[in-house]
Amino acid sequence: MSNADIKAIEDFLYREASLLDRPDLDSWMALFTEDGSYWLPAAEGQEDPLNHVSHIYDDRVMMEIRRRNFVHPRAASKDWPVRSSHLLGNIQLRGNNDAGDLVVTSNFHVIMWYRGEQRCFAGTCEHHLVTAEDDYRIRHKRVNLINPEAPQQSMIIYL
Amino acid sequence: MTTLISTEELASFVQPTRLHKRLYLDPDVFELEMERIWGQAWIFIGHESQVPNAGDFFTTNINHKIPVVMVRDKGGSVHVLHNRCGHKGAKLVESRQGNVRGAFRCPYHGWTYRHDGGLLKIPNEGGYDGTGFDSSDPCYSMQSVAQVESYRGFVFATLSTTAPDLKSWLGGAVDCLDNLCDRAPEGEVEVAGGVLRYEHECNWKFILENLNDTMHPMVVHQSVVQAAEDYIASLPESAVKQRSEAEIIPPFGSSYEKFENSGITGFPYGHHYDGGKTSIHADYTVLPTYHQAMLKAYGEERTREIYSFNTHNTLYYPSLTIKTAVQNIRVVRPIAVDRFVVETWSFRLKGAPDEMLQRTLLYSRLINSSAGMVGPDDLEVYRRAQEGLQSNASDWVEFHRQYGRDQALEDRVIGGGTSDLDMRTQYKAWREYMTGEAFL
Repeated sequence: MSNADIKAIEDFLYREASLLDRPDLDSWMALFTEDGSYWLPAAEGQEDPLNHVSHIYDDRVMMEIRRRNFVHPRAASKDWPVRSSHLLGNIQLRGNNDAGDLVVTSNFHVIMWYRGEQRCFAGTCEHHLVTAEDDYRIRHKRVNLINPEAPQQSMIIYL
Repeated sequence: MTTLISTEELASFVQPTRLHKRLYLDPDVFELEMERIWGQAWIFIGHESQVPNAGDFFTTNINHKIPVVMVRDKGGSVHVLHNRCGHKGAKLVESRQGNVRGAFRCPYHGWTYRHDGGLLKIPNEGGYDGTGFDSSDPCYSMQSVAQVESYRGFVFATLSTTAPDLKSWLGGAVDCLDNLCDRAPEGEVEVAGGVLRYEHECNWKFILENLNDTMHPMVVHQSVVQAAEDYIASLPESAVKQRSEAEIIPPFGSSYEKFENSGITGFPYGHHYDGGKTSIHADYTVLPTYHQAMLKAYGEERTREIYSFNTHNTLYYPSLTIKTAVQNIRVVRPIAVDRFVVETWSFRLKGAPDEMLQRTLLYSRLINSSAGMVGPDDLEVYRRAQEGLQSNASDWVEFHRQYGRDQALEDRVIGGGTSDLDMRTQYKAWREYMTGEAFL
């Protein structure tokens, strides 16, 4: 993989993060493949999203319901502005998985402004990417918090 | 604990149709609640399936502070012990769960304890010879919580020596624990699939009030219901059939009439449930392979009977709420007057296909997760109440709905599904615990 490819992958991850920062869920969802999924496990090293509980495990249908709920005028928890700042680092290419998707890991720090507070989240992301024309699409994004088992406050947007 | 709040004053905070705001705001009231409600009632500790083998332990607090450990001994008995060394008081185990092979060992001076809490060995013990120290005095052991009992694997403990036995305390509300277990073809459930922990920045009683407050779902959850219904309607029918979400989310928007018809049932000591003949969980598809396993285990008539008792939330006041038809539970632990944590645990029905557990976990994730689309809107309105009650516009919170229409039966009170019977039930218990009348 050339330096240009690596730069393109980094740019893609930065673009994805900035869509969540704003947030612009319509454009963010469009980065996923039709069979794409997003996973926020509730346990360290969680192996399975179906036989163990997760904070979030959404396919495109659930993403669309979540997006519609997010902009609904009668969701009291969304009366508050939500703005995030993602900082990504340690971006590493891990090769291809069995499905042929490119596996990329990165570390993240997110500061989120919600309900009059700045909240901190940190951890590691794993993206499974497919190439689509001149760009990438996300087949799977897994967000491993450093504290998945901790009592969490309301998390009303994707990390 | 000394307090400046007299029993008469505490009693005056709970009136037939209103509550004083100090129940939510006053740290002194909170400390008294920890002593008199959480210090007297049977508190849910955990499920026996969390400690399957000798030496397995699970730790929690029995109230806002007191650390306890549930542990299985070599004979198979489950104990709930104070997580405290008999020497200098250090907590003996820190992790949420694990296994102590031979004995508990204090990390400070190495005192060791058997699984039943008995003192096993003190290093360099000779130093105690002739000092009057009596190693057989229970105060030097890991002491058991005052009373410990389990019902169908659900382990409860109480700090009170005068609390009635667990079965008497559960009363008629035990039907719901039975129904949860009976929904397993083998008649037993086990904890599976991990836990969600959700921090709530408000008073612990808000969630208990909300469980069977059926006037709120169509308002608080309108957004997710509409988001789900509108989008699901746009999908091809074949795609919808595959999705349990399509059965789980929309019933939160059920009509006032439907909730009214589900009814609320209240019991002594503050327990209550809504539903019975029907509930918002009543229309879930029955998985054919599960149904076959149930028929094989129970026969047609008993299987129908088990399905037909369909409740929404059952509160075992103050620490445990269960969903029989969903097979998950929520465990409440207060931290301060304006803070508590809720744990959501899911259960496997023994003898049922894996898809049943997967649906339970889906429900926990969609509805009870801190990142779900139902829980955060509930928490938001609790926090609005916590903040709004600071106003001095009124000292009172009202609960008049259907007052005077409750119907007292021999061991329970029944009323309309949209009534405030659940409020009357739990605050009667609040008052009895707080004024010392609960176990007279």
